[in-house]
Amino acid sequence: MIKLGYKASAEQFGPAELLDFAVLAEQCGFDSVAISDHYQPWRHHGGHAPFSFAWMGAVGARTQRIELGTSVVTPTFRYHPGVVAQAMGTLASMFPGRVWLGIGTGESMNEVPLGIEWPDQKERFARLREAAELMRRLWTEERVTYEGVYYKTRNATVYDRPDRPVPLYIAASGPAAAKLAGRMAEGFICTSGKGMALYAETLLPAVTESAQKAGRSLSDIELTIEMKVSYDHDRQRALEDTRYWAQLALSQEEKVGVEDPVEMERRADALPIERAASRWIVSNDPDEQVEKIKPYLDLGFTHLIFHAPGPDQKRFLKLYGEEVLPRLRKVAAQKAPAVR
Amino acid sequence: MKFSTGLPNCREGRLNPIGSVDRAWMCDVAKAAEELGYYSLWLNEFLQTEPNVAARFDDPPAYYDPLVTMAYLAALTRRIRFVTSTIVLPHHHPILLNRQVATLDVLSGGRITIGIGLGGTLEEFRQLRGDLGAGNRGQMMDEFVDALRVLWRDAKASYAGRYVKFENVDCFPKPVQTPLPIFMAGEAEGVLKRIARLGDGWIDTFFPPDQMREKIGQIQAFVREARGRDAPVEIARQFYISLAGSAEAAQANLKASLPNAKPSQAPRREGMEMTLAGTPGEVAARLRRYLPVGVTEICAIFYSPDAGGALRQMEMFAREVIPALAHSQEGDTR
Repeated sequence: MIKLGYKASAEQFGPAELLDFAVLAEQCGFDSVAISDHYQPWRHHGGHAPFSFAWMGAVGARTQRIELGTSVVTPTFRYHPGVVAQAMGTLASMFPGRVWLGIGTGESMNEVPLGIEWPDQKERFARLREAAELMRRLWTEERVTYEGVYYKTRNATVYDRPDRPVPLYIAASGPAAAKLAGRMAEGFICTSGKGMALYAETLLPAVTESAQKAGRSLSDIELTIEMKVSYDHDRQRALEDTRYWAQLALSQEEKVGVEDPVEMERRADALPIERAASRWIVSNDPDEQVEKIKPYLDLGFTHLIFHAPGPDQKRFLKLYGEEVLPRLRKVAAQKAPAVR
Repeated sequence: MKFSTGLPNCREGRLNPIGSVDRAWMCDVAKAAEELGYYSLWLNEFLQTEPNVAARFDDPPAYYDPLVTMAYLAALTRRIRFVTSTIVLPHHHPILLNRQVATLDVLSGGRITIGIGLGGTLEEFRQLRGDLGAGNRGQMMDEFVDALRVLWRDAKASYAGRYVKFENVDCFPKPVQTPLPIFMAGEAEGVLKRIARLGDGWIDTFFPPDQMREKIGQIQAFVREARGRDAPVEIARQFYISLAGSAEAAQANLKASLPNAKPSQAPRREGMEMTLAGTPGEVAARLRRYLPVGVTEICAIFYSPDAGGALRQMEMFAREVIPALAHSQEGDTR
């Protein structure tokens, strides 16, 4: 079964407002809600950065069925992975079967302001691999002694956790992290709008290949993608809504080494609206939305988490829940689940 | 990274069929480029039929003047920039060019970059600028750029060079942009030094990544020498591209873009990378090699038999290639 989720933009909304959106997402028929985890937002003016684990506790208490996840947390710098394992153990104990942890190698803007040195990508990835191994052990074993290059534990136990380990989703933008997901994770996460060749030729083949090597089936891995969509009956409004998230369109060269939200905001605002919107599926027609999302379903993604950029999230949740989700479920059902 | 695309104003017989380019094609490309988020539109300049095009085709190509075309298209757009890549500077008189470019800059709202080159052959230069005789075109470039800067800056502009002299020229409007960017094309040491002294950017059409890296290193060293400190220089690289859903279709598009062409007489430069033909994935993979070198702007100029083909490739490039380049690194999970 395909899962259709809602991305709670922690960078854009305060915790109480964001909580209402998550509750409404459940009412509007979304299957999951995922939150990002920032210490600093992308924009200085009007930016927010609520603490994800505390917020997930509140969402769990105010909802009944919706799945809760992070997309994504960096468990390797300001948090010790053992503490992230504990936080998720607590959440999974309270909301069994409803939570998962998405992790990634992180962004300097969330670590450097706390006085943390920002290492190269090679070390960031090595840390992620260790953290994933360590958290998995803390969710399945007691009195864990771990001797990693970056993390060490001595007889560490997470006392409150469910019997089944917390599902781990690994975020990837290149083949190395995608292979790690294929080898050991319950889920793989990426983001849309980066050109179909990246998914079809690089990321998904890497997941598949390493899963096979590890003797796993692709159906063991939730292929998850954050879908960047801007939908409104007014097309111009849908286009203008992408302005807040213009930094997503910045290339790696344009944003490298920017830790300051003031500077990030300045660079993002310098982009023309067409470039700001380039990552997004912008449309006022539900069938056009479905048509542009379908290629991702065809590639085999099973969990789509919709990120809407505009200020009126309640309007988006209602419109999308009524007009687009049912159409997508129909299309997904027609697509024979032969592979899985 | 900025991504730009080309206008076909002087590309018949090189990337487009003889007799194919018209007003509608250029207007459609300009409007679509703006809608698709391209940073700038590049125009080139030939004044008369190039010898190699004359040798390959029975009919002459139409070459539209870049400055006049820019003025027309600036009125149809509101955001996108315009770059000449390149106008042949020694063919233009600096005082006249100063006024054309300043007028364009004002009317377009500061959207003009002037790319300049030595261009053409010595014979053509003598044919067109008999008044300057057998002058040193390198020195002419230096003087003309200096003269343009003086004219754009000073109320009563004076300049005394070997090839251009004027006194108290009281010429307005001045450009909106200060400074109005001047890019330079070429590969000789003299060109790279001129960029370091007088330019804002380098335009390259030929070199593979490792050789570009070497040249960029030279420019940066010359910048330190000339200005006594590091200063940013834009590095713009243009590519002639044939983009399609399959490698075969991309090759077919190359052929269809130059129907009835006789074999090219132009000498081949081994090891250079001017033309890229293939699928979005293949083209992105070739272009990705230029990212770590220090390129700041990539201009994709498309081979096409008609406007529709050009528009399809522009859209494919914007939707498939640009995102793949902007977001292809490990760790950029956003």
